[in-house]
Order: sequence, then C-alpha cells, then structure tokens
Amino acid sequence: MNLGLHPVAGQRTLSYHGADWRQNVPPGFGGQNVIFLVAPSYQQPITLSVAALEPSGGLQADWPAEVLLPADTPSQIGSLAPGQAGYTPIGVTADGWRMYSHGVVIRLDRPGCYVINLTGPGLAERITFWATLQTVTPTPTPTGPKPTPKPPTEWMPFVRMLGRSYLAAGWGGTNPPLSLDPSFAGRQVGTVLWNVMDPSTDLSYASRDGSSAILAAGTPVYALKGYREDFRLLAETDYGWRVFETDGLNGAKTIDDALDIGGRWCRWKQGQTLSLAFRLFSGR
Amino acid sequence: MEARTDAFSGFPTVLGKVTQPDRVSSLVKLLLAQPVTSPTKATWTSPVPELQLIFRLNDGTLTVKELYVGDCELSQGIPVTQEFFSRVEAAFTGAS
Repeated sequence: MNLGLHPVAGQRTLSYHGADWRQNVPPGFGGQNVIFLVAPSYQQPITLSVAALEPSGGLQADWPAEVLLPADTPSQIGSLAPGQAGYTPIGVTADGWRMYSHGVVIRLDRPGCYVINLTGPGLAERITFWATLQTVTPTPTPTGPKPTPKPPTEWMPFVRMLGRSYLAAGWGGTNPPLSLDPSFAGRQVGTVLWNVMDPSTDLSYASRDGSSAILAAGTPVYALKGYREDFRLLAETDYGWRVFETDGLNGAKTIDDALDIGGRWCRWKQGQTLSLAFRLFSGR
Repeated sequence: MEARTDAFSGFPTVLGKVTQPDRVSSLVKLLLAQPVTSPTKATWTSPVPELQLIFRLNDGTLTVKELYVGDCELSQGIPVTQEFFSRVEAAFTGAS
C-alpha cells in the first residue's frame, strides 16, 4: 500500500503499514514520499512522534512532538518548518511536514524505516504505523539469447481412453520395460488425438479421452487380449509395445475388481519362475 | 531376502519371494479380496509405499502394485489399512 506512488526506477517509493491512515493526499501535497495522517479531532492537541529505525531493526531515535492542530482553519494548508513557534520539531528524519485541516502531512526524504505514533486527547486511541522509504534500483535489461523455457508440467506416461486414465505398466523403473508381441493386441479401443507434451496442446485436454503424455497423436490403442479393457490396454510406444494399466478404482469394490488378475497369476511349480515377489520399503 | 536400494525411490528395500504354493495362493486371495473404498483421488499422505507386489501373470506379463498404508494417489498404488498391511507382511515374513 502506498499513497498512489509507484516504484519508478531510480526514484524512491514509499510503503507503510498501520491503522487509520488515508490515501487522499490533499491537493497541493503531490509528490513522492508523502504520508497523510488523519486526526479525528483537529481541535484537540495530539502528539506526533517519528522514529527512524536502523536497517537492522534497532531503534535509532525517537522524537516526540506536540502538534497543535488549529481549530478554525479547516481549509488552511500550513507550511510549517521544524522548530517553528508553537510547534515542536519532530526530528530530522522527517524534513518536511505540513498541516492540513484534519491531519498532518509528512514528507520523508531519507530512505529508512520509520515508526510514527499519534497520541493525545484528539485521538480516540493511539495510532501507530510503520513507514518504509526505499530506493528502487533499476532492473537491468536482460541481454543475450533468451533461455529455453522449461516445460511447466511433468507428466506421467498416461493415456486416457474409455473415460479412464491408464499408466504405462512398469513406469518408474522398478522393473525392466516389457515389450509385448503385437499379437497381444485385441480390438482397437481408440486413437490418441493429442499429446499433452506438445506445447500447442491445451493442458485442459489432459482430462479428455484421446490425450496422452507418452503416445503421439494418431497412435492406435488396443485392448489387451484376455483382460478387461477397464484394466489393461496395449499400445506401441517408442520403447516397444507396452501395457497400460488403469490408475483408478473406477468403481471397483475390491482389488480383484480393479486388477483383473484373479486366476491369472502363475501357480508355483518346482523349477519355475515364482509367481509373486515383493519389495518391502524401509525408508519411512 | 535381498537388501538393496531401490533405483526408483532411493529408499532401502528388501526384496523377498514366496516359494510355497499354498502361501502364494493364500496371499493372492488375501490381496484380491481386500476392499477398496478410498476415493479415487485421495490425499497423498504416504509418499513411500509400504510394500510393492510384483505379479507375474500366466501370459508372461507383469503387473506391479504398491501398497500404501492410509491414503495415496491411486495412480501410484493401492491404499490399504495398517491391519491389512500387517497381515500381508506377516505372510511374507513367514514365507520360506
């Protein structure tokens, strides 16, 4: 938040946080680094103090100032120098401040962090806020070739068909890729319409049938013979013919419903490959 | 059992095998009968799977499923209860 001031290269900008301040800087007080404090009752004296903070956060100094707001000058714009009779200087860090009907205007010309307090019978409660005046460093204009933009999204190797999403089986490297014989292909269930890795593809298409992150547009997708289509599909990838398995439950009530492997796992026989292995993770 | 570091997850793992037909059968039945009631996209609270099952099917293909205790992204595996996981783990531990 600031008083309508915008960061301009090479110039200073002002921002502050606190309560009971207004952005409506009175006419005639344009310019930069201006704070306008609103006093609820200008007929009562208030105490204004401005303190500058060290960059490290330590309090540097505190200058309490008795500010008597004129009662009968609702439209008067005062130009009061620190030390002027009737007013107590508020400190060197605020090298300019002015009266304006219902409030006080402070102009800060030195970069720093300030604590500003308003107290007194003219205020219902103590007002404290922070103001920071900083110098904006011009942003250098980039030179040289533009860096290659990084793809914003990493995709799993999926294909979406039949209202479901399927992942390439063995994805992740836990098992060697398995390329099947194309004779495993059953009926063609669909064709890939677009690849979400293509920068020209709208990412919202990822949730539509026909999208894939591993298959090129135009790739036919087949059922895998002997398996339910809602469990497994088959398609030719750059790594061979790969199985794609459903990545969701799709209404399954048991794992058997979801995996469609019941009765298909090999019964162990002496000398044959084991039917079931496991990998127990112990990294938790 | 074979201790190793899994190339995918980077976590230390133990690779085991089941060698008794009856135990294989009971294990598979136990797994397939496991109810799945989690929503299709649960909050991923267990990024490391507890167990990975590798099925070699009778046509030579593999299907690999990871079991997570609690919720998980179903694209990564199957969420199971701690009780179910303990039963599976015990079955494997008892396998020769």
